[in-house]
Amino acid sequence: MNESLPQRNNTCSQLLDRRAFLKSSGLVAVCLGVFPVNVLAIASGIDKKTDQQKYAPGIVLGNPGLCGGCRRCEIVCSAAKHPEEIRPESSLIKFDRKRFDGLFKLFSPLWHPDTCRQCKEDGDSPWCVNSCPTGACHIDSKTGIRIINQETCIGCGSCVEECPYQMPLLDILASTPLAPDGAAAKCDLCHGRPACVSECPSSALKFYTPWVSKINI
Amino acid sequence: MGGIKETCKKHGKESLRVGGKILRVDLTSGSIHYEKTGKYVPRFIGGLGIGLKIMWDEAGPKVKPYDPENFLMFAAGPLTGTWAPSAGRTTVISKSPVTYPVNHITHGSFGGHFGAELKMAGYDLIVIRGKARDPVYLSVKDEKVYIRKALNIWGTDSFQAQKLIIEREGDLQAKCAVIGQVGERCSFIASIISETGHANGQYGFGGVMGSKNLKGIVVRGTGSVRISVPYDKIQDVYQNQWKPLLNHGGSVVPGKGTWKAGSSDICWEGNPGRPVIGEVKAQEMNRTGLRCNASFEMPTSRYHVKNDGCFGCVFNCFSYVRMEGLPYNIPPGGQMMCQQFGSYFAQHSWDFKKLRVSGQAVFAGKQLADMYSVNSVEMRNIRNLLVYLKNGHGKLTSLQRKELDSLPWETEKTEENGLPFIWDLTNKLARADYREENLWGLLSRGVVRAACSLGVYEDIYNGIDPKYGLVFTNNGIAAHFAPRVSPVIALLWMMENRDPNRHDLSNISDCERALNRRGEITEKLFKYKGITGPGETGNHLNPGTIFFTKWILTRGILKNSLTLCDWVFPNYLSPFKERDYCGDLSLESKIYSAVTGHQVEMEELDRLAEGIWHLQRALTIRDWQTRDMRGAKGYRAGGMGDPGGDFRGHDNLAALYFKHPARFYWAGRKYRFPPLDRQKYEEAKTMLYRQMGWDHNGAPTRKTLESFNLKEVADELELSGLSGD
Repeated sequence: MNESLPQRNNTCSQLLDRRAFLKSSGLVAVCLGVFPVNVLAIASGIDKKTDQQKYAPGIVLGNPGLCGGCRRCEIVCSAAKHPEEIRPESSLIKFDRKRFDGLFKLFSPLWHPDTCRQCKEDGDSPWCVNSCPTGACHIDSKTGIRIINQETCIGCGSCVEECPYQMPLLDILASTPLAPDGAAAKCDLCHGRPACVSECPSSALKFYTPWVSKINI
Repeated sequence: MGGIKETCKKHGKESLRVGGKILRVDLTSGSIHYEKTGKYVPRFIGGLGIGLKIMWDEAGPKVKPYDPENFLMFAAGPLTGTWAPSAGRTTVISKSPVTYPVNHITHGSFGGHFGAELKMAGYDLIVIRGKARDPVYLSVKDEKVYIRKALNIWGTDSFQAQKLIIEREGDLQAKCAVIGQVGERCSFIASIISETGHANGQYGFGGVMGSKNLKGIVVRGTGSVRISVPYDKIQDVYQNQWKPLLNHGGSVVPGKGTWKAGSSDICWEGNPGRPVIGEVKAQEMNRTGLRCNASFEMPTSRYHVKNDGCFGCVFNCFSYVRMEGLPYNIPPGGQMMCQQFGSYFAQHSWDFKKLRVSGQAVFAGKQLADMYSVNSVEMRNIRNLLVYLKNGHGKLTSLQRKELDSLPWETEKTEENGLPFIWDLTNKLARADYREENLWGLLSRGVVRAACSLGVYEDIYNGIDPKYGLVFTNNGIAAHFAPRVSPVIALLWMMENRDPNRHDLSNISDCERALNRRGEITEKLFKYKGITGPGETGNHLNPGTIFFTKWILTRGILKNSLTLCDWVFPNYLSPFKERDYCGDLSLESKIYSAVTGHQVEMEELDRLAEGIWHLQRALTIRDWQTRDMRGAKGYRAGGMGDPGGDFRGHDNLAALYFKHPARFYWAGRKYRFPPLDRQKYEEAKTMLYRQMGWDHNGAPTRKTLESFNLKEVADELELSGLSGD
């Protein structure tokens, strides 16, 4: 904890810095401009590679330029996974966790939900799948979505630690005999119909499915 | 990512569930203990209801606002933190220092994510009492509650304080409610701030916080809120029936040109991506959060970065504004709301194109008010009072006159920039000595008390030139909206013991989609004719308006108890033709039943809320120590810091509303409304009292209180001779 504090201090003092804002506003522009382009680039790359199976069928992306920060995505995500409770901590879409350089809505307008990247199969990637010792975290053979089978998960947390985007979590509401402290959970795109996307009131969340015509969900 | 693992190990599964606890903190002794919410619910619903009940049981009429014995409560309701739309609000309850002439118990609320976080931490209410010896802040992280020293945080502004507290707690997810310098100095007009724009402003509760040496509260919850009907079972109903209804677009989407939210040329100009929003259609459920834009046609619209929503909101009505290069090191970004835009220009000339100050001054003024935690609505009144004094009115001592002249008046009126004036004025309130005889000390007690001391209260009460735009209720609270416009608003101004503004009326009257049919629809919903309609003025009193006033009062209490947002509920109108544009008034009770498992019909829930409203009325009577709320005999003022003077009863309006017509601009049109008819309003009050079950003077009778299961309240009122006849 002591190690992480100076880092935070540093981040916070940067917030007041005008230069930092300019940088970050550039980042918004980048995010706004590049996200769809990115997807298209990947999409066009597939044809060349002709190995579509290396990609997940789609990806949910949050647009920091539109997101109003109401956290309805977190609410419905947690409700979709645990219908009897609302627990944003268990949400698999993570609102403003990375927060670029802002305390919660305090100094920066860049808040947005962070989503699972559904990484491409390439070397160690997807890290969550490749780090799983039991094979609970796997690529669904039908849909290509990277999912976790909580029945066989032992709650070791290796996917949580390996993911460079810090997206999986150990969900204490999903404790099983094998994982009494909570099985791991990660975004499974709600098997093709992401609840967060259909709930977002600002159309900041989009489900990009460039491969959907080629792979049937 | 050890953090998540650690969290899982530390908290057992059961500890994550909300236990329905009330957190009680005594700052004098440093004791912290818990109480079950169960003994108050479902009788008092939650939130405000529980708070008022604790107030009734434990805070007598002799407790002064700044006594350590006064309570300060932060309350979340049964719907807070659930999937219910707009359930992110927090209700604050305490005895207000600013109300005039009597300091009575009242309540306000603020948005943001504080209430939801409180609920996730496992608490329905935080009840704070006592006074800390040194400056402290309260840290609540799930079941761990600490009173921490705030020596290095005391003296900072509210933005900086939140930053310091969150850094010290080491948890970036934590949410704060803090005060700035004006609150620390126990000004009567200090607000409580969360994030950069969510303020509990109108009632001086920031001063109450300051008087307890409490700089702030930081809350972090990692638990869950349990809901009775599983979401997967209710999902279809919610998505297909309730959610589209909520898309009524009331005053959030006026469409009358007020804020032009629906027009096609809307672009968020301050946003680097410059998204063009355009028109949002009724069926577009994924774009409801883009429609509202509080800053359009305001001088700050060029700087609108994006919309900002509270926890679980579907409308996202706040504006996030970013303005580079502000002088005096004012932070460039912040959340902003329509009323905060209006802070620095007169109420009666809401003609945004003819503003006396620039967009920069408006935004900087808002930032300053929130940083120093002073009520921005009151700042408008203060500014206007100072202009009135400057024009040679009032009995000022030579010292006060000198202080008044020391403000940079040359910048006050300049078109492009009123900022130096606003900067200087806010700073004086935040830093100058408050003394009995100096101007800043007087202004720190609110504009009504200052006006009394400076000998201009009579003028203001009887009406001065409307260009000065001084607006306050009979309770001394700086208010918005104008009573001469509608009989419902006028009656609300009389009856409420808080800021009387509720958005019910504007939700009906400004709804673009059923604009021409609103009279018809309200008739269908309420079985009364003439509740609202085009061409009405303040004197169009009829049984419908009396009924509707009672309805708004009750539903207001319900909203603050559940906690739901005033802009989103109740659901009067619907955008859909197949529903004949009728909304669903029972939506609250349906959501309440689904979430809590306590099955109630609309009438039953309304009746519970009405009981709380009677309790609030009894509290006001107990604080005023008179059962003559109508004020027939006149009332001798005796509040804190009160200069004295005769005052008519609680249920009244300043004389000016009965004497002068109202003239103002709104959305480019000129309006004129005649003065109110005093005789008609005395009759209207009688009718309203009768509907409420109160006596001729407005005090609840024993029979009424007992019928609402409030026997202990009736007993106590009778003992003090305050019970209705």
